[in-house]
Amino acid sequence: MKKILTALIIMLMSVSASNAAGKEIVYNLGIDPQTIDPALNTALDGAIVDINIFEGLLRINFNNEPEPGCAESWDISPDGLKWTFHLRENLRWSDGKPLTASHFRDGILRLITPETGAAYAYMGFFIKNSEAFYNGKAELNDVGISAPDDKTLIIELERFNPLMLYYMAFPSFFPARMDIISGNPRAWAAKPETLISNGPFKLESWTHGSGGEINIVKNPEYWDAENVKIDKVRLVMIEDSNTAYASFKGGRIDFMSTIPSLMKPLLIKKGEAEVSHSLTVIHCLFNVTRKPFDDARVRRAFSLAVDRKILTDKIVLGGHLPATGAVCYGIPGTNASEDFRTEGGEFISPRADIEEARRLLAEAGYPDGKGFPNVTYKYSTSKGGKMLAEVLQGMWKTALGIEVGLSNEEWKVFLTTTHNGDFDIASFGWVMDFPDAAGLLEIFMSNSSNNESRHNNPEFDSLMNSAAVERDRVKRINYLHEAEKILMKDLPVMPLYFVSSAVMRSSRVKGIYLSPTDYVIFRGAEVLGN
Amino acid sequence: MMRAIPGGPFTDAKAIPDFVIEKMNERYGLNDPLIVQYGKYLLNILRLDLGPSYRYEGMTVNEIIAQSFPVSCLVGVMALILSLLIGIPAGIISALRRGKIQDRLAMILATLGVTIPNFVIASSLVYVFAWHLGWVTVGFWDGFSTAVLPAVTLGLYPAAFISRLVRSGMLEVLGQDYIRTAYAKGLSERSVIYVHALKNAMIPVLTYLGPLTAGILTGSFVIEQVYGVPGLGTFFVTSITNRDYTMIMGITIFYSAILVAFNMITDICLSFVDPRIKLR
Repeated sequence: MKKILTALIIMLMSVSASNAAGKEIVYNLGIDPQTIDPALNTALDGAIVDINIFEGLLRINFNNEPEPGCAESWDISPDGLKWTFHLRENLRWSDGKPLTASHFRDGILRLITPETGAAYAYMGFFIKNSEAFYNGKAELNDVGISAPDDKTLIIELERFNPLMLYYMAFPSFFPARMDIISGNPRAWAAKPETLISNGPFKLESWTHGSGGEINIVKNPEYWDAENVKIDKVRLVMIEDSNTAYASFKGGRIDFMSTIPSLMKPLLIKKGEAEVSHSLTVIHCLFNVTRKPFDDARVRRAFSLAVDRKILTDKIVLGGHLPATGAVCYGIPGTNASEDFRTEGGEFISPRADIEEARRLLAEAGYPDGKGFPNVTYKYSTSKGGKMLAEVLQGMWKTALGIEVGLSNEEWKVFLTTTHNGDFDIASFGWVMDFPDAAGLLEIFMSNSSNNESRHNNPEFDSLMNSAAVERDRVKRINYLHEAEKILMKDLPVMPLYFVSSAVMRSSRVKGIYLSPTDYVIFRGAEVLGN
Repeated sequence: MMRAIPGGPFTDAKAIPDFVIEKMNERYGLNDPLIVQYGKYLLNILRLDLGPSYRYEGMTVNEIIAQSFPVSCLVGVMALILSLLIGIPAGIISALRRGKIQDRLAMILATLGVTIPNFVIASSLVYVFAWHLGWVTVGFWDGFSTAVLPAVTLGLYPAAFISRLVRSGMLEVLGQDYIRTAYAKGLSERSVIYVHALKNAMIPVLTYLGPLTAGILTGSFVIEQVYGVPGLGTFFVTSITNRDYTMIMGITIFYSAILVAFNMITDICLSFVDPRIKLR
């Protein structure tokens, strides 16, 4: 009891102390991250913390492009398989210790060391011998990463990686302090005492759960610290969007994306919320190994029966766009100023084509839906998911005369059953880590662990494989365009809509950058009139 | 039972290759036969070690409880005090003014308090005090001031319930012979009510207080979600959707321990108040 009382008193005192801070921004992260260990994290919430407290060889600029971070320059060998990064002078960790190339080597080696248990370990497999090392078939010394001196990091590749620079700005490839981590490989990133970082901010405190918060404060040791204009960011974790909105209205929150969904259209219209394209798609998957969806005509009929314009205008509110292809907007095309989606054209009309849908269904042997087997649409339990499911059910019923059953499952049950291929049609959402079409298309390769629809087309696979190693940007993106064409012919996935992020930002702050990958970056933020 | 639910702590939207899952399970000892895992777990419990959380990397269940229980406790104690402060006087008044306007009013309020779901009360309070008046912070923890609204919300139901218990307890006691005797001996109404009647009328309330205290101190999921209180209740619920096996077990054990403790305390207290119960 005494301990509890002490804890209470400390908690009350710490709160009154935190109110005294100077230029402080409150952001609603919404979720308590599972981990902010850059090697272990796979979630957006953890990544948002990581990119603000750590920095890779490169960093993401305010146009969502990689720019020099800890490395000020780099050289590439003519075959593109050897990259030499040159680090800045006088880099330091938040505890004042020098940051050297070997820390970057340690960070990447940690990612691909099996004992680390990193879910994203496979991201590092483009590095020479790393996959062999992960599987116990090569020694640590064989892995193609070396730090000949404190300022130079050499990475040799197994195969060319077209997104190399994006990868080097991604949390999985951040540097690591093995002197701290090896003593406490699980808990080091959970406590401010052991979480030493090298980014614009550093961790000050972390309380867990709903109503918890992560506090990060300016890191004076950061090489670009003079351009960091705020002292502190409080990342709060309000899951309930109504509460978050009330808090924002009460002036307690400066920036948030947790807006009550029914209020979104009104707030966007009034200019209180701003909308930007996110690299997120909401689609549907067909299980192409099960009857009747093993027939491409049936899949096309189902897709044509859906009116995506109604979906985005009347049902899923908040500035989302009808999907006209598999890949969303916001990804550069062959010409970097052109959008991949615009360039690729419109595969799907936003309006339904019921006549054609009926014709295809009849051709497949189900005129007016007669004799169509019982099929079920599976989705995970959520308010929005249920509404979408019911609307799709209605559209299929009116257009095709087919009664599709609905089944909802708790999130992890849903993930497990769809992964095991136990579905006819399933809801599907995907957030891309990089502005690159391959990030979405590669899911539908026959050997992808995410290929839940069981799509298998050798022509598609070969185009994707060519794209994965193609050095010429234009050629590579043309491969991806070709691959998308095939995907839209096969239709293992039925595109529905492209997600837009809506955010609310208080007028007392500026310069908070929200990237299309939904990262929130605070290093350029300012508090006005304080 | 927990393990029978499909999915595991590492099930994620972006499917992790099976060989990686294998390595991750190995690291947490999830590949051992269930009986071995259970044995190891029981041994750790004996050492009061509830194990590592799978959801909160690097935190142990002990640490999570140590961090969130004081918050639930603060809100809970405030709610409890509030419910007693409202419930007991309201019960007494309505019992003494039986059938009169005060009684009717108190009982209508009590019925409302019992029947209105707490998320409705919570949302209404947020709307008025956080949004319109802007008096309090909701959504994240700012200490005592953020605890007020959750405590009020949490305390209304027990307050209503207690007032009804006190009322019926009082009515029963007031009809008994010894009260008549007390009046007959010429004692003032105040001393009859507060010294003789209330003590016995409180017995049902005390019985109810044991489980109530245990429940209220360990937090409420709904209230914590709406107000953003970093308490224990949320972990209890989310640990299941997270498949955080050690957390599910740990909080259950912790909750049971508190429940048993408070029931025992209640029984001991009853033995002092109620002469019919004797400690042997």
